[in-house]
Amino acid sequence: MSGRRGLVLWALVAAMGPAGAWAQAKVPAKARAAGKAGGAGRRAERDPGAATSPLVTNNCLGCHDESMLDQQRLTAKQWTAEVKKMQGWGAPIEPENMEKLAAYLSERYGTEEPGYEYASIGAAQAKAAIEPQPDGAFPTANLKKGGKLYVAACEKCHGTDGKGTAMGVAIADRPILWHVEDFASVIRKGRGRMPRFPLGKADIGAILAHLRELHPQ
Amino acid sequence: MMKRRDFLEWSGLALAGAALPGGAWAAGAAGEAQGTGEAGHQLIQLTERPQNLATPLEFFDRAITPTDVFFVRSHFGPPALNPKRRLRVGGMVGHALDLGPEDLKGFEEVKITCVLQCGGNGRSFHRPRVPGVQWGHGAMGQAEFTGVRLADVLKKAEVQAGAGHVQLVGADTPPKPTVPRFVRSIPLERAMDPTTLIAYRMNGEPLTLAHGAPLRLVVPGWTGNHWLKWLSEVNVQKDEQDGFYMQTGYRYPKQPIQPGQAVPPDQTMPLSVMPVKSIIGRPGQGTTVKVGPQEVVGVAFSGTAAIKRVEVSVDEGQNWTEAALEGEGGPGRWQVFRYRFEVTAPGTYQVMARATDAQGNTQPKEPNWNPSGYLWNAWHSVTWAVVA
Repeated sequence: MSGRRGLVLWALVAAMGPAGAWAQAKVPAKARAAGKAGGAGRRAERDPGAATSPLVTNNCLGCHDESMLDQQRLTAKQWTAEVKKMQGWGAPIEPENMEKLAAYLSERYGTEEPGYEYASIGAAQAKAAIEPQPDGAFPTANLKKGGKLYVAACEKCHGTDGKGTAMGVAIADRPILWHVEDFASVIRKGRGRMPRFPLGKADIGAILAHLRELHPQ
Repeated sequence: MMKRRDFLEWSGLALAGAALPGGAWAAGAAGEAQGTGEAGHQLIQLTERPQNLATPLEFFDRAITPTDVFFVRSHFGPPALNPKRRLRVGGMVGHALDLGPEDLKGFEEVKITCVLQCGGNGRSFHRPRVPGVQWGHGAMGQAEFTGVRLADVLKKAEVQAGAGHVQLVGADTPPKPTVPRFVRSIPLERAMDPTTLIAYRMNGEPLTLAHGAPLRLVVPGWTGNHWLKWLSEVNVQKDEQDGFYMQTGYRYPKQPIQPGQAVPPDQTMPLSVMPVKSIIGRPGQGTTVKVGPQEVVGVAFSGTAAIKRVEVSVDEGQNWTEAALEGEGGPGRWQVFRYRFEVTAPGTYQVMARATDAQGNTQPKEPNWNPSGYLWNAWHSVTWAVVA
């Protein structure tokens, strides 16, 4: 990576650290509702414009999209069990937030809620969402630079092997590595507890080159 | 992308067209999801990430479900597409195999048409409600699968004495190292069944990534959780596989229980064979049809045996009439059923279907509730409006 840009990135990562990164993680519900594949469902309809609770963003949306929560109609006892199960599987829920999250989900997605509105998706769009897409304007050849950027910005949470850690999800050998626009969007907008990284196309393409090499095709 | 009011269409208790909000009706039912051509094909999206998609019921009027609207279920989403992924065969075998796509050509090619259904299909209709992907009836489909017999591959590897189960591993990985991998096993006997295939084509085309490319297992008659996608390892072992997806998930009470009743783990068993079931594809719930000839079309299957008959009732189950069965039957294979009748008076009509297989198994009126909401197979009912 170039000297100056590298320094900027190092500074960015150092300044955020885990606590700073997590505090930033907030996805406006409206942005999700307007997204390409819906999934904001009942909650967004009832509370138009309401932001997704940080409890949900920070603890659920790293692995799930919000529709998985929206479509449940469970008792408080069932929600408590689900939250406990997910924490056991690595959802980074702080002990003091366990009850809060279960209570939040029970209140929003309880057994008395009306029916859930399912989204639909075009068959061609669904296929394109996971099958490889062209890289377009992202240069994905600079492996060396990508490796350095990965170590600086990604490795702490996603692991040296890209298979995820307690902090971040697995990203090696995923379809998103062949969907450069989606990959760039996650980097630039963040997801779950992942903060935003304002990187350019060259840097994002380089990180992709590194990740693809972690698990060669 | 448009929203559908699928909850209306999916609900067993949904009211007739007359009671629907006009807007929802116009936008939802008459709009995007009618599947009048490939270009207009839509799926119901249960979750985007990972991708879980259901087939609209209107496609349950034919023997083969088009691949592009064939339901998709995965726990963690697929691995990246890798057409050259190898299949390793190991464990209790005389000699381990490491097979590339070309190596499979050394085995006899087999084609089989059968139903793939998620164990959780119909989960959203169970009461009390249970957690999980809230499938309506659309987590099923029938396709022609092409591949080689797992038995032939295992014979080449020479299964050792004392082996009892075959472990199946896919290339998909969980989102975090702390999440259990989706690893399954099937009894050796089922693995050696000549219908159990390692498939590479579906409906004549190479498997899509969503459906397991390049290789997936096909276990006709058994629920989808056995049909491992992105198959990368087959290991012969003595015992049933350990781990969440065998010993906690995909289990069912050994004895019938009351709705809401807790079941101790030792009173459960792994899912295996799909019970007898029928689903009405047309008319759609809440649709409007003109006075005159009415046609009820659907599909019926059983994991155990061929379908013997499908009966239809238009008076809430008091009287039943046999529907015509079409196509070839067999265990784990669906047949289309068709029932025609005449309506002269406008109004709201309801039809119910129930299937019986060649072993005499028949669908229950009420679903067999279980804590994870598997194997829903109660009588399916559809209500529609007939207008002048």
